[in-house]
Amino acid sequence: MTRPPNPRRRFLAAAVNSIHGVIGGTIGVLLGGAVIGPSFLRRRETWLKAGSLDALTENEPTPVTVRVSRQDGFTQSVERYVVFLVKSGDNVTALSSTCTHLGCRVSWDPEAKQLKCPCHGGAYDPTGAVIAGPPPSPLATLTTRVDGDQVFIQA
Amino acid sequence: MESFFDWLDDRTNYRAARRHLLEEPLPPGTGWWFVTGSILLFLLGVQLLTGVVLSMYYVPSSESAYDSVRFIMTQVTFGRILRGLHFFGASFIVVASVVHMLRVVIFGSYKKPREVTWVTGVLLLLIILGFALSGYLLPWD
Repeated sequence: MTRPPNPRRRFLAAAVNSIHGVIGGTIGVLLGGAVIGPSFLRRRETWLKAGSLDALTENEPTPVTVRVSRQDGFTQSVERYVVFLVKSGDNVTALSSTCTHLGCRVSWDPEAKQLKCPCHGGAYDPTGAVIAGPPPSPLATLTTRVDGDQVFIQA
Repeated sequence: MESFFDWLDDRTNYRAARRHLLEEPLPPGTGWWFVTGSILLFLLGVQLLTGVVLSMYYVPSSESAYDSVRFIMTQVTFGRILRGLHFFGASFIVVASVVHMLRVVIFGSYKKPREVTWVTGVLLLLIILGFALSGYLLPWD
């Protein structure tokens, strides 16, 4: 037969349980914050300077190299990408230089007026549309912004 | 609220399990010296939980260990507090285990029928000391 708990014992049990709850809750918040914290990080919008507007020729892709600094955890790496800037009127389009077939780097052929892939004969027009060969889709475009004389690409 | 716990107890019998796990009849005269084992268990739990989360960000290589610890301290949410808990918990657990062993020796709790428990405790103390030493080296600083 168990005796009914007296008020003092009930108070002590409640106090101990409360302390356990506070400690457990605090540790839970700390652990949960560390585990799911990265999910709430906002990606910063990064604009990279790609070149001068004056250096671009109308409707002719101009290759430029951009350096993208990436932070992954504690490691920081700088990657270089070649993109083609195409000026048409007031607009500037940035095309990826990576062929959509198997990832080779395309280059501009000024005589044929095409972006050609050296690997499997893929060819694109200055807007990035496929005009020959096996590429399944147009060249990827990147978001650009013109500020004064400078062209910026969103990383 | 009480009716909910009654409903839960009818289906899981959790109150009996809690009684079995937590409610230990103690002899008269039992004082605060007998909480050293519970303190050790609590510290062990903290070390395990904080260690698991820290291991998500820590890189165990001589090239990256220090950088990953610095990342934990500066970039991870609550990382500085978690590492602090783990760091100081490691020291406390060594102190608490020594205090617990002394308590067992002074109160004669190693005698029959607790010899196996005593030997297990000594082995656990050695393991704790090993973890403390290896953990101390992990930042590679």
